Parts: sequence; structure tokens; C-alpha cells
Amino acid sequence: MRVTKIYGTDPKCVGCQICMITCSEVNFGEVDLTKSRVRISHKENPMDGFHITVCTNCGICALYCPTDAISIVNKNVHIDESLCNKCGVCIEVCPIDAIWWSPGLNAPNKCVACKACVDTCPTGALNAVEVDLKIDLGKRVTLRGV
Amino acid sequence: MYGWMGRILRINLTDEKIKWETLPEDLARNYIGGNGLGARILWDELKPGIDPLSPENILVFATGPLNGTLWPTSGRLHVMAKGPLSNAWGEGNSGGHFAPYLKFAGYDAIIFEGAAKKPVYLYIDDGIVELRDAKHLWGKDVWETHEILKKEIREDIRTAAIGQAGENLVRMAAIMIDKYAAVARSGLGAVMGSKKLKAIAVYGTKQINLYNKYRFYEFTYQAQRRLSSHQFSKEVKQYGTEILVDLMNEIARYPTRNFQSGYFEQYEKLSAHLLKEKYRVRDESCYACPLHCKKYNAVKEGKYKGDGGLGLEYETLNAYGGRVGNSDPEAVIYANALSNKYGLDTDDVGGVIGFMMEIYEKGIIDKEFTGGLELKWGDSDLLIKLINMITFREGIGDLMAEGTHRAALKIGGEALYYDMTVKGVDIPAQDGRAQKSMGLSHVTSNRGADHLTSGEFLSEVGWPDAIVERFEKRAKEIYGRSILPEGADRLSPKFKPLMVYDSEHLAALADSMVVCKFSTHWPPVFFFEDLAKAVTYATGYKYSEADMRVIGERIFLLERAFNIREGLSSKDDRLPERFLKEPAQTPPNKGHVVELDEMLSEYYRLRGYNSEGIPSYDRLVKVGLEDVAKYLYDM
Ligand code: SF4
Ligand code: SF4
Repeated sequence: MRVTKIYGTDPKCVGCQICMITCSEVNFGEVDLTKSRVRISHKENPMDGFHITVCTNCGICALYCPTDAISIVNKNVHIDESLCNKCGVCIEVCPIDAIWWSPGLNAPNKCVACKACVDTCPTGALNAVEVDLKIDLGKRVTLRGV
Repeated sequence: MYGWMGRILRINLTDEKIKWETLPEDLARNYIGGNGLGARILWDELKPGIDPLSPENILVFATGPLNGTLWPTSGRLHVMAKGPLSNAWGEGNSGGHFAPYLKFAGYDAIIFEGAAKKPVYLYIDDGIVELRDAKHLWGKDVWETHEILKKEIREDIRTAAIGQAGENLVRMAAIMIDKYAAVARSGLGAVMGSKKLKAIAVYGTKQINLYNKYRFYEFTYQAQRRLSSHQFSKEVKQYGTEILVDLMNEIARYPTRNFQSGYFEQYEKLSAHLLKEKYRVRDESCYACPLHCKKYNAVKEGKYKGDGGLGLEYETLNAYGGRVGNSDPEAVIYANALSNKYGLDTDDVGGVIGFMMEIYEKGIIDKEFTGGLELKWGDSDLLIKLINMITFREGIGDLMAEGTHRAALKIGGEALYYDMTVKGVDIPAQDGRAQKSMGLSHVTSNRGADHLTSGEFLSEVGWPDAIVERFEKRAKEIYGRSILPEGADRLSPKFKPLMVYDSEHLAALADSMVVCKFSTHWPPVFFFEDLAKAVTYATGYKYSEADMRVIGERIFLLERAFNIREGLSSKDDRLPERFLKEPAQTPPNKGHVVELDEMLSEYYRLRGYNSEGIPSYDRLVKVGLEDVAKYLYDM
């Protein structure tokens, strides 16, 4: 199965937040950086600049979702809001902390691979490629009853 | 309201009262924001003749309708008060991310009145607005303050703070945004210090409503690309303003040893290429800006080893470089970081150090006066020592902390000739003899000597296309002929009054939106029409190109009226004698002085000033300042 992988290259990032502004605008119709699905944060040492957090569509969250709300739709690891029971397991298991709660949303906030940030990033710090999904969705782990 | 948040915070520090006010619609519409809002507020509320460091001064932090949107360079903030250096209109502008977050918190501006009894800081998080005790912050530098607030509140908080310079009422103190961006010129850090306001910490999550979102974003995406791909943006991205060290020395416009010369023999040691190769760590941008002009430097070894921080600008590379005869880039990086920590305006500090070095060289002051210090050109350790002495007002540092002009007056006599200030503010790294429009700009600017109030950089580069695009129509209207070739010749005084006059309106407008002049002036990408469109789509009020010019002029004249009310007049529109009498030494400018009288009288005519420098009644009425006209003409 093919998915769109978006990835950031930290050393290229200049912290302009254009990606965050664009993401919230394109996906929610408003500039609200707390809703952005890409996040720019300072690294501990200011000399090191910024860290870009953006979902790479690895799909691990889909393995753990107890309600099977997460599946591949349009080459994207997609959370189906109607199935999501807001347990937050995906947030816990994401290895790169790319899913989070944003105020006012009905499900965890996750990148939809629209690539708007990739288009607007002025430095080429964000990129997208199409890759094969590395995990086997048949091997979903169920945490129910654990 | 669209574009604006529609709210102003008014904080009375004396009785710790916080008031939420509505932003009046006509104020927003007619003055937009930033310097426009501030000028109107200060004109309406500030009592004339007050001491800028008294509780009666009013300090305004203002944003504009584009801040916090995707509009390129919309991260800037404008701060205003009566300035402690000029005793007149004071303003400073800074990049960073503070202004957008102030808007996300729901406010277009903050007005500070009075003065706190003990140190406080203001905390804003959406609806929460609190004055908090700042005992633990007082005495700390800006970087420490920022880090403590970050730990205390949250990782992504944005701060505006003063360092020890502001606390000690150094008249050259700046307000620092986060850690590295300075609200400089005018000495507004001292105003904040006099109010015992250590910092503002802001965070917010509200959204900005836009009138025509679709058109706005369509236009903004285009604007981002236009700015990012402009032929002159490449250089900005690569070197920031550092590159000007090289370019300005090529045209001998780089103030050296307190303006004795425009060419620094050792400039190559401060060259942008060398800085990039040896000290550059990374780049950074302000909010929503594709240009990432800010460069992070660090010195890896030697006595100046350490984190140089962000934003070593051309002005500092001159103030702590050629201006004081220093060619050690590591000392400049160190001194710049130190100034950022102390919260100092490097321009003024380099100015006063250069001034003292020159009068020492000329024998006007001696070792006894300096407390044993030998003020030698180019002594980098001395440079750093003096920055410390100024900040903590030790020894001659106490006199120097009052700024060049006050120090010169105090010393008196021959020292006055070497006072390179206009209206009490040090002339920035822009020698007017090497570019005539700059000579004029230093005089006509409302905040004292300044290159950014007009930002007339087009003649500096002599780029005919942009000059024609910007000024040809006006030149034909007024003079009935083409602006070329003289308009593109930086050494010709011809047409410069018009270019300065018109650029001042564009700059006033940029400062009201509040966007960066690295988009309106250099690289010259967005002019009146673009700004009119952006602000129309954002706010829903229909602005035309002509409206924009009127608003620019309105704001500029209101600031001028503020100065007139404070007692300034044409007698203050003077350059130091050195610019008028001492010709430039180095080719290609050899023999050139600033033809000030010739340019100024034409400028007065264009502006509608009378011989005392007061805007004419009719002109004020024409730009919608009837009440101001009535006041100035006692009616
Ligand atoms: S949200 Fe995290 S776990 Fe899920 S696909 Fe994206 S990167 Fe992987
Ligand atoms: S748009 Fe690019 S450079 Fe700017 S913050 Fe995002 S990833 Fe970094």
C-alpha cells in the first residue's frame, strides 16, 4: 500500500511558522496555530535551531487504535472521527509525537497529507514523497481489556 | 471587526488597573495600526512637555491588521512613547513573533500609563491579563528573563523585556523581543524601566477574522512567492544585512571613526563572506517571513568564545566596527550578544563610544576625565568595558548613558562639533555625504536621525527600473520631467526631496500595518497598491492606492505635529556641521558634502511646511487632521 510521507529537515528550518499558519488556514479555514498539524519548536540549545514535528504516515497508530478508527484513505493514515472514541492511544504510541489534542476538535489532530506546508515552506525544509507502507495492517494490536 | 482584534488593553501601572477597551472603528480605519494608532493615542492623551522618564509618559505597543496572518513579514511590532533621547516623538519597531501572539491573545495594542511602585511584569494569556511581581526578574538580563518566563509559564510564550540598561534608565536602552530582536532607537527601554515594567509575556489562541478570506489568501500566497523569488531576495537570504559591510565600503558610505571617513581600511575583516564562513551557525526568520535574514553566529574559540546569538546586523557591524575603529569580528559578535542581553541600542552605544574616542583623540578630554581610560580607536576590550560601564552607569559610563548629545552638551566647547546626532539621536551607519537622500532623511525623520523613516534605498543602489516604477509619475506631475538620470544617482541632490518625501509615506504605512521594510523598501516588492489590496481583503474597508498615500501622510504629519507641540521646529532640522562642511575623503564621493539647505527647502515645499517647519493648516486639513491644525494654529 502506498502512502504519502511528509518529512522535515530540521537544519533547513528557519522558524518562520509559515507551514503552521498555512496548515491551520487550509485545513480549518482560520489561522490558529494550536490547530496546525505541523509543529515547529525550539530545540533545547538555541544554537541548534528548530525541530519540525510532522506525521510521516508510518501507520503505527493504526495498529494500536482500539476501535479501528485509523486506516489508509487516499494514501494517508486517516482517523475516522465517527469511529474514534477519543481514548488517545494513537497519541501515546506515535513514535515521533506527531498527533495531539487541539482545542475544539472531535478527534486527535493528525496530518492529512494535504502537502500545503510543503508547498509554502520557503526553505525546502518540508518535503513529501510517496512510499510503501512498512507495517502490516493485518497485525493490528488490540489493547482492549489490557 | 475584520483584520483587527477590536480590543485594546489599557494598563495603569500606578494603581494596577487593567481596562479592556474597544478599538474605535474610525481610529482603525483612518490610522490602520502600529505607528498610526500610537501617534493618535499619544497626540490625544500625552500631556505636552512632560519628562519622558516620568510616570506621565505613555508607552504604546501596537500591531496592525496584517499581523498574525500569513502576509509575508507580518511578525513586526511597533512601540511608541515620548522618547528619552530626543524629548520628542519616540518609536521603535521590531521583528520576531510577539505581535502575532498579542493578536492571538485578542488585542491590537497595549497602552501603559503611570509607573509601578515595585518591579512588575505583565502576563497575557487570551482572557487572562495579570500584573505579576517581577522581583525575581529585576537585575536579570534579557536572555535570563526570557528563559525564566518560559519555564514559569510555557515553552512557546513570547516576551518583550528590558535588561539592566532599561532598568538603569540608560537613554539608549532598547526593548528586546524574545532574546534577539530589538525595539531600538529612541531609548524606549528606559521608558519601560522608568515604569518598573520588566517584561510582557504573551500567549494566545484566538483567531483573526478576515473579511474576504479567499481573496486575502490567494493574494497572500502570491505575495509570499513574489517576495521570496525577487531578484534581490537571494542576497538577503544568504547574508542578511551583513552584506552591507562590503557594499557600503565599496561606495565609501560606511561611517568610520565617528564619521571621519566613509571607508574602513580593514573592513574585509568584517566582511559578510568571512562572517558566514567562520561564525555562521544557522538562519532564522520572523513570523511568516520567507527571507530568513537573521543570522545566528557563534565564536568557537579565543577570548570572545561563546554564543553570539541571532541577528548581527549591518548597523551593529558598523557601530561596534568601523565607527569605533574596531576590526575584530569576534569582539563585534561578543559585544552584540552583550548588548542584546543588557537591552541596548547598538547604534547609539557605538555612536557615543565613537564620539568619546574622537574627542579623546582631539585632546578635548583626557585621562583624568575618563578615569584613567585611554580611549583608543579600535581597542576591542575597551569597547566591551565601555558597554558594561554604560549599562551599569559606572565612571564615565554614567555620562555616556545619557547619550551622545547630552554628553556633548555637558562637555561643551569643541566637543559639540563631534556630536553626530540629529534631535539627540545618533546617526545610524548611513553617511549622508555618500548618499544625499540619507543626509536629508536623518533630518526629516520624526524620531531623530534615522534611515528607516524614509528607507530611501533605491538611489543607493541606483536601480532605474524600481525608481521609475515608484517615482516617475510623481516626478512628471510635480516637475514635468523624468526622474532619471539624477534620481538614480545617489550623489545628486536632485529629486531626492521627492524620493524621501514619498518614501516616508510608504514607510509610515508599512509601520502601521505593521510589516517589514524588507518587503516594501528593500527588496522593493510591495508598494501602496499591494498594501491597499492586502488590507482591503483583510479588513473589508475599501482602500485605494490614493487612500494609502493619504494615510501615510496623515501619520507622518501627526508625528511631526507631536514634535512641534513638544517645542521642536525648523531649527532642529539640522545635520551636524561635519556633514555640511567636511567633505568626504574617499572616492567615489571625494569632495561631497550634504547639500542640506537646497534639499530641505524643496522638501519643506513638498510637505507644505512653513519656514518654521510647521505643516500648513490646509495640508493638515487635507489629510484629515483638522483638530491638529486647529491646535497648532491656536484656533
Ligand atoms: S501519526 Fe505518528 S504514528 Fe501515526 S502515522 Fe503519523 S507518524 Fe506514524
Ligand atoms: S515553513 Fe519551513 S522553514 Fe518555515 S517553520 Fe515551517 S518547516 Fe520551518
